[in-house]
Amino acid sequence: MSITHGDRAADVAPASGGIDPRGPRFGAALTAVLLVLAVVLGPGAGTTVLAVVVASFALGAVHGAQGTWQGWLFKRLVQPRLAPPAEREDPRPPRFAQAVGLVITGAGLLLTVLGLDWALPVFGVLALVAAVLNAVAGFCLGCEIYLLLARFRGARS
Amino acid sequence: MDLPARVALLLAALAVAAALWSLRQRGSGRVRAVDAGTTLPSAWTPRDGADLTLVQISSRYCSSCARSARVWTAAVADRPGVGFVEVDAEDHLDVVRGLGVLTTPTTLIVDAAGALAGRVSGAPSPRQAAEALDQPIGAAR
Repeated sequence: MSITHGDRAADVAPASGGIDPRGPRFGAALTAVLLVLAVVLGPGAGTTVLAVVVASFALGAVHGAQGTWQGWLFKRLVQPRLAPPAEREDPRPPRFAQAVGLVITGAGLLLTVLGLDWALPVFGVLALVAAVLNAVAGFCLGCEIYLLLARFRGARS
Repeated sequence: MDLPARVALLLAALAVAAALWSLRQRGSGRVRAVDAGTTLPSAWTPRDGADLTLVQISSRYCSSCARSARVWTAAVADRPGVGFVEVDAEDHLDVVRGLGVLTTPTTLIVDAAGALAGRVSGAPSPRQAAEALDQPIGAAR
């Protein structure tokens, strides 16, 4: 019957166009492979691989998941071989998730460089879990964190 | 941490994530019973004499809220007396905390008296949406 957009959620609706939701998932799969490599190689060579992941998340946090090298590969190599997506997606949630990924892997990289060798596997595995859930199930862990942060922020004020 | 320990940590974390994921999926899209005593904002209670109102709590960064809203919108379209409202969690943090909403979308089913009749976590499938709407209406009559 009646369909009302109560309030600000109205502008949560995807802007015209939107991105192919399979793009961020493909990117997350590549990120997951790099993170497995970083954790298995360990401090040293793995630190360099983690730095690549951090740089990729930094790109994604600024330009969105479609603005990373993974997004570029998807657009050039994968998307042309796929049927058009059934639905398009608001680019802002994946971009926020990239920023969350940047914070987690960035913290891991910083602590590793400072000599705390446990930080690489711990933060690497944390980011890996998020990337795998995203790639396999399309689940956006970073997006879930947003609501929890909002709840916490609201509780303090 | 040596290599076997790192690999063990990796595998253990993935196993835990898979277990939590399957638990979450089991409940996703299904109606759960709720404490009926909860007071909702007056803006959420049924309008225009609706029998039932769905209130979807969305948030700014939510990958499945748009899909969820589309499914509910399609489901209420052929059900006179059922309304759909989408609200932003950040505008109603007291309610979100009071009801223990931890994820978006969470959809509240509000009956004609303005009482909470059930809630659904996650985006429902079209079939789950139909079941959710037919069940409480049927029970009320």
